[in-house]
Amino acid sequence: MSESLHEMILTLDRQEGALVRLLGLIERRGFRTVELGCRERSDTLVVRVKLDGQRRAAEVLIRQIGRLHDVRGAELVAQRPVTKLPEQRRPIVQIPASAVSRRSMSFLGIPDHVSTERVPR
Amino acid sequence: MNIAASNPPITDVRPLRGAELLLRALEAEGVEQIFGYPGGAIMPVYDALVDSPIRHILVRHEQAAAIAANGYARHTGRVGVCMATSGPGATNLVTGIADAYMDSVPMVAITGQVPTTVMGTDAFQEVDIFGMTLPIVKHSFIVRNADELPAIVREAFTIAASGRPGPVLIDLPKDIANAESSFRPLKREEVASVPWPSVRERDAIARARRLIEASERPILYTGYGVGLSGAEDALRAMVEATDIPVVSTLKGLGGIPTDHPAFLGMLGMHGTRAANLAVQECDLLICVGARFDDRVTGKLVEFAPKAKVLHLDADAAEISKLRYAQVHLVGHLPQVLPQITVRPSIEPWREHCKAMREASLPRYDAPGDWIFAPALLRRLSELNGPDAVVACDVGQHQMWVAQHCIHRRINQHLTSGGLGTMGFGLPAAMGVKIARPDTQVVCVSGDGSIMMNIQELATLRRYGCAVKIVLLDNQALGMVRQWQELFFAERYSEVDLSDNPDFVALAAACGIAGRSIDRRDQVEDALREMLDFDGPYLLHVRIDPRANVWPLVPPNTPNHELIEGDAPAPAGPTMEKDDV
Repeated sequence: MSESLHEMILTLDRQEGALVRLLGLIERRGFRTVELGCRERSDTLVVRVKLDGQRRAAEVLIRQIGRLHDVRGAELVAQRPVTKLPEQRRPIVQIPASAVSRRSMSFLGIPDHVSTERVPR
Repeated sequence: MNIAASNPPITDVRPLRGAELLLRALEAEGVEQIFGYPGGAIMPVYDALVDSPIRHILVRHEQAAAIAANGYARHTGRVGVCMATSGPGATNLVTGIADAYMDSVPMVAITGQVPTTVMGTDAFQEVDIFGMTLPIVKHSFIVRNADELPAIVREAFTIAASGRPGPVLIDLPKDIANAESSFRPLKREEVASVPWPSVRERDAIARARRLIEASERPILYTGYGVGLSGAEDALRAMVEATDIPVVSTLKGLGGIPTDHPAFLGMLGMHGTRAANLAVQECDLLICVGARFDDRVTGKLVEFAPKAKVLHLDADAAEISKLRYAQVHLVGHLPQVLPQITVRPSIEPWREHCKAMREASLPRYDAPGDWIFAPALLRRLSELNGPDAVVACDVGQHQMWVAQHCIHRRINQHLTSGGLGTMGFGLPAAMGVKIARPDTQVVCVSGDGSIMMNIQELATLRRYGCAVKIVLLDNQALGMVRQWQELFFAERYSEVDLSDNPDFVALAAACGIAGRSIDRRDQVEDALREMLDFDGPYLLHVRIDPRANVWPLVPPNTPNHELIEGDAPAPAGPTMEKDDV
């Protein structure tokens, strides 16, 4: 079961409301949190979350998370097969570059395979 | 945020109270007016307001403050500011904030809060407005230290206006508003603005150009993102160069002028036959600053079934959210559009679309004696100057405005698209008129919607705010009644408003001139009288309670299965089932 879930690593600024803002967005966008862990590091909070979302694409969710002002980094590290969108002819495999900062990636030991641009807001 | 580094305390000047510092910071952002309503927790700010050059517009309900700031921002492109006290004052702002969020309107909402010492104790007029608004703001702050105010205000305005705009909340506890600080507002040059996303995806641009070149039946599907990004001129240049037929969302109307020969009209639930059929037939849908909203797509899986999608947007989160995009470009639309301007060889398609357009043009010779609202609105639009602004409420009249008014610029048509907020029209019009007193501003409303913020007639009177109100009165909640007629077997439930107040008398009680009409031969004279009147004016128009909005795509139905109803129907082409 667990390998079919989406899994994300998210790095948040340690600002008031950052965590509840993130978790609220995840639920409102149609995903169920099934596993959650976080730890504080310096002025950031690193969150690892496993999600179940039967009818929504995790790639879109991670871009929506990337729009949050408190989010420094967002990485989709595992995903279940993507729900088919109308007229979809191939799965979306590109993880958006916008939401990930170099700082968060190096901190988590995640390969620097995406852009390090600041989230466009 | 590193406040100390960017904004060191100044020790040789008198400390400011947090409330003063807030207003100084707002002044530094160029704020000229705030729409608001005072109360207990926000009193320090209202005290400081006495000494501020910022003009405060005292509304009669906080919801109107939020919507007025919203309307101001939609028209001017600047950040609108509204303010209220804690508790009910703050909760009354919520609808206007949500409206701004759904329609990507730059706004800063400031709320008073109980002192930090009693926050979390269920104190008098305490609500967790920060928590309540989390889903409907782009970002929010609780000010915990007066020294943070300059940086918070700067950040709030930057966030509200940058990228895809949206509302930002600043919750200011009363003790922080009274606390002293030696900090000062940030100078403008001290913080770099957030740049628009740059377009670096050269490969995607090349693929986009190839898609357009190879297409035989392309359609430009344009939305409010065109207006938000200032891309109207770029869009018009692209349309002139390519002659690709254009359809628009409700909020994108005016992106290119209504009377442009390439413009097929609004698409979606109440869209034109030409626009909806063209989208269903197209082989390439070029989505420019739009988001495949359900009111646009109808039954999503059957929307534009033959089309590949090229999606252009400032917001990466909109790409492939509801409809997969074969190619996408995330960036500043005025920069993106010229790079994909390539003229395809599609002459038969152009001719086909132009023929559909001609055949879909509305007719205004409705039978009967009742005033025909679409004809009245068309005439209003003709009599209005080219710079006039129309703000409307929500319901049947909103769709008639979209269908029948002449739209020249996106910011001249203010409509609550995403949230569909009844009560939006009057405060939004007021927000524009306060900021642009020389602009003709007309509020088109219905007898249901107008009552949602009717108290703002008193605000019009107070400020001599010369908004013209066209009130289309069908003595019902017309859109709900229409749906009950069509989809609920005529089981009418709680839609009768035949006991409406005397609206002209109500306006008169607020010191506002008005007139009531119910015959077609009164329309011309009444419209001219209203537009020429020096001051606010209410024109009450009785219309047929049975009038419906046509065309209509029934819910969960593909857009080519639109129904025309009893409107004077154009003899337009039809689309065969086999074509889809």
